[in-house]
Amino acid sequence: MTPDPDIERVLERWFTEGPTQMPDRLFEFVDHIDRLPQRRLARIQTRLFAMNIDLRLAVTAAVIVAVAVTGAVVLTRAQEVGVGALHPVPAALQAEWRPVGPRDLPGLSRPHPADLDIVIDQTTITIFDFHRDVLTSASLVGASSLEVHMLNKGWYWHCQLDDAGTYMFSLTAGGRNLTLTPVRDACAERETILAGDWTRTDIGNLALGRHVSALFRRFGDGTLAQVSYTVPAGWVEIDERATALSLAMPSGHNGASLQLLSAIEPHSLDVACAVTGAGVGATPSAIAAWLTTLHGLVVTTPRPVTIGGLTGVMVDLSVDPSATTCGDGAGGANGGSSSLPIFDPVITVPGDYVAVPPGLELTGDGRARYILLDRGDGRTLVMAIEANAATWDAVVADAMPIAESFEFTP
Amino acid sequence: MDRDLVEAARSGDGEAYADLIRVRGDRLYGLAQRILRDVDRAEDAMQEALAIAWRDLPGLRDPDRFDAWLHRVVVRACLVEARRTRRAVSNLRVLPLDVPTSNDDFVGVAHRDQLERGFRHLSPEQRALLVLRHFDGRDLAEIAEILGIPVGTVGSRLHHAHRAMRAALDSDARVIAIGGRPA
Repeated sequence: MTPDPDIERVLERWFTEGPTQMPDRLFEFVDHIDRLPQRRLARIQTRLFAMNIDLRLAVTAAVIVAVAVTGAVVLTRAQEVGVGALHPVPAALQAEWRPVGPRDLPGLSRPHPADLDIVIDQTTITIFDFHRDVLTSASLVGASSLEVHMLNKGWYWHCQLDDAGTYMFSLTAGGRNLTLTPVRDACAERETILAGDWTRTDIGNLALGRHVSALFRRFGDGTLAQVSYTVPAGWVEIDERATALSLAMPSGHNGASLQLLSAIEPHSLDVACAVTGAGVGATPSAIAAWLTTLHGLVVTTPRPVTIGGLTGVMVDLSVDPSATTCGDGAGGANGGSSSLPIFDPVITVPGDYVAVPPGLELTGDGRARYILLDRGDGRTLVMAIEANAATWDAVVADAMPIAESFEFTP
Repeated sequence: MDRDLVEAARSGDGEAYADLIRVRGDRLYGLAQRILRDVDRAEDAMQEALAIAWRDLPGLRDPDRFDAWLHRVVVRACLVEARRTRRAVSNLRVLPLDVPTSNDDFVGVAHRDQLERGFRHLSPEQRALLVLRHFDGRDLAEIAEILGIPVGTVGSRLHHAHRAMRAALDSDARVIAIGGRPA
């Protein structure tokens, strides 16, 4: 994280401007506050470990719904702006794509390589601009060309509604990479973004069988050191970036999930919410030893493990239900549920700040298995299997074969 | 002593609670107003927060953490308010000023406009983070406790928010540099 003293000084000065006194009405409200009853339940805990996974799946579901709604909007808007009959975009292009190489995003002073993804569906290309989602209708107009029309404008864009463009497209063998070549485009900003190479993120359903990571890398950066793994039917990829890969079973099964973080930073909070973890060694054994020192955490004895040629240790974790952790109590860090952060991800790609991958934490009756592997450069890659206590055994049975199937190429 | 006041308020003493708010209200209201950029919505959020804090105060086990806890309640009320009204309010009102604008040109009129616009495009969480850091003067660990997220996450999100604000300023500067004017 590079400090930006100029913007910090500007913000500090700017924030001095504005109201400085609470209105009398609010003081009068407080003077009569005892008319309101107080809650006498000292502690109401919710145990919602699966929330993170479910939340992410819910988001995925919401995206699917949004895409469907967007499709309907596109059809309506297309008629409004005079676009002719739409021929659906080929299925091979319908995916989430991440740019290969920098793109000069409108409104930003420098190109940002990973600040935007696009989602192509049957009728629409959605550009996740820095400031808002920019929608473009898309239809097939030849064997390998798309016609596009602007459906809304980005905040800093100079384009107009209905600005048209035509792009040639080509896919690499296997459909992993896409190249969009502009033939013409009335919208210069869109052309700047769309033109070039894209790589499929694979977010969504995973077919039964072996997969190679599109973005995730063992060292969190670069083009080499991909990983491969095998999944049975029914698993989905819910996040992939250079530093993180998250696989899960949809809700309704057992909530199984498997996450990989290419590098982690020990980071927890003690009972007084003071930060712990600084100065812990980077090796799997040092990190496992640190885990055993965390207040409120029950940790099994580290067991040696070798996966895909990498060696390390494996531990199972749970929260001691009788222990108090930072954030307990009404109004606690997680709305009254106790949560124990354990690892922060290490960001190695600047663009990943846009959507910071989650760290690892345990909440309530959550259970986790951390497989801590030596990446080969002195740092630790973690594979995390997470579930709640009720489904733990089933989740481990489902997820361990996938974890053990990972191969790490040099 | 605040600890005594907190314990009394926790036991249902409304006057003690009012005393606690009397010395913190202005600062907390300033916080809410700067997150929401709207005096009416800040008032609504503050009233909601003050009622929630009173209601849930018996659940606060450590009186010494009252300040961080109260900040958390206020920030949460602001986030809820921001999300609740985000769809309904397309144009936020510009701040009415009740303190003199600085005479120097450090935050000039053009910059204020750019800052306001850039700030509006941040998520409510990012706004809260910037206000806690640069208005309230909180360090990263304090912000982490208030927002209930790890310190490292605070650091990276702060970096992103700074970058977004910098982008807003840079963008308009670029438009000016090529002969245009800020949009």
